[in-house]
Amino acid sequence: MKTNKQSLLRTALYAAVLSSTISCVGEQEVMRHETLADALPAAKSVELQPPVAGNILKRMADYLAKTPQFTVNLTDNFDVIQDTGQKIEFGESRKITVSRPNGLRVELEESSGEKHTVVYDGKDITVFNPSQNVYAQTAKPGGIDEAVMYFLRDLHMRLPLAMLLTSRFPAEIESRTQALDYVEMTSIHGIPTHHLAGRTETVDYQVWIADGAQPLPIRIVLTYKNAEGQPQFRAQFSDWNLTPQISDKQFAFTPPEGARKISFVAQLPIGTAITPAHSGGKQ
Amino acid sequence: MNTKLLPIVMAITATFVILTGADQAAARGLGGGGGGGFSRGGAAASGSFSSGAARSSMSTGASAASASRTSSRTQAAQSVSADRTQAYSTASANRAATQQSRQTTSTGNQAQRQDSKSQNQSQRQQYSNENVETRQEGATTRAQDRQQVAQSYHGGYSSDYHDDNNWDDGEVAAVAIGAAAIGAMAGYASGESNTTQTAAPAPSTTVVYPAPAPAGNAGLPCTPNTTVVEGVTYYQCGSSWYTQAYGSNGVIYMPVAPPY
Repeated sequence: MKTNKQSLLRTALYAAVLSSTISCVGEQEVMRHETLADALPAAKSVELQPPVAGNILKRMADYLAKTPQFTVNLTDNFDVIQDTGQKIEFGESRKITVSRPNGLRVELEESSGEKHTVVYDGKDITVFNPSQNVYAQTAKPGGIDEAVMYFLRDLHMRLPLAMLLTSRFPAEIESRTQALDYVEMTSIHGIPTHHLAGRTETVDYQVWIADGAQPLPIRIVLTYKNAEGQPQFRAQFSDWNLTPQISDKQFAFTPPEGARKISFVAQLPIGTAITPAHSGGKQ
Repeated sequence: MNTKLLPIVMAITATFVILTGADQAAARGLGGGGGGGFSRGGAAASGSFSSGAARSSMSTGASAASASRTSSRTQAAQSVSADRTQAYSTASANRAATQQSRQTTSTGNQAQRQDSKSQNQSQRQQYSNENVETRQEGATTRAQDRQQVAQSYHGGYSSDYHDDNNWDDGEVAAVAIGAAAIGAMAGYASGESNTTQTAAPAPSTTVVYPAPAPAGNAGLPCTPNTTVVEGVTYYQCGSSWYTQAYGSNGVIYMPVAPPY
């Protein structure tokens, strides 16, 4: 009898424990659902509010434009659609030094090993190629903004993401952006970033902006949607330094011994290219 | 029997693939870019937040040079396109042959696979045709862009041009590269070395072909006579004169008028 009673008691205890465990699990499930249910509308509302993405973008652009001096390293890769239609990726790395309003230095190394240096000191823009020991130089007073615009538009030179170096970046990005979305919060090499996706008339862009007190761009992807094959340009920023040691010497160009001065292609006299020797061929 | 057939089929397939590859290599040789055979520049290389594709319809009153470049470029696009179409056809026929061989050893599963492969083939061919059309359109657009650039130069810089929103217009670089490809074609057609630094005649910026090697005369079609006139170094190859200049692709040799 005694044993029977004990076993009954034990069974009852088991049952009680079991039922309480089950109810706990049930509660947890309910709680999880509630959490999800709470979270979903929140996530949706982020997506549906362009001003949020717009604020993040504007904050980054303003912050960058108002930073008086900085250095940053940039690694970029870009697609080149070959005549065969094959997509080939090339890359380069560059070290950028900006000292507003007049100092700009960009040291570039292509994936081929070829190097170029672009310097601006408030008066002259110089591009130097150390391997051939040649440089091209032209006067352009007026500051970084003027020099960068002249460099791209009139000299037809390359300076990827040049817009980010100018103080007019906030106005430029705002006027060109036709649509902007918040994609997600994500982490790049341990840095929490806001991933935004914007569209301009000719380029779709994505930018990852660091969360927190220094809203700096960490990664940028550009898609040339109207170009054949829709090639992309991808860039990763690293080693942002907003308090660098800078001297004016970094922006002045002194030709190394034996360096030859050459023209910019765009500044060669008009018409020199048309020579009888080169009008032939397959035409 | 099956085990013997398979290597033979594979060998035939490999032959077709190699032949097809050779076709494509030839096409690339004609239209390709710098020393490695791969062009390095294009719209994405600019890293700009805008590209000039949207401004392509502004040109009027083409110069003779521009017109001839346009037709040359269209021809180039067509010939490359034709090559590509042919290559795709060959590849498709090749694949079809492979499938038939496989079918002799087939099971129901293989038949199903073939169905889906045929669909893929027709899709691929369709894509190929669409690509050809797109590329031709692209060529025309670039030609128009070049005309526009040329006119801007001839007309001087208007204030409108300076106020342009797309001052970092990335298509400019692509335009220069496009002309480089023509230069390569012309050089190839006239029997010159594939590394020749020649270019199509152009009124302003578009006469470039990147130097494949950084040092010495590697970029020129000959070992040149070198002359310095008023501080500028000129290189002479036969009746052709060149000078070095800095462009978006780096330092290149530009054909120029004789310095004296």
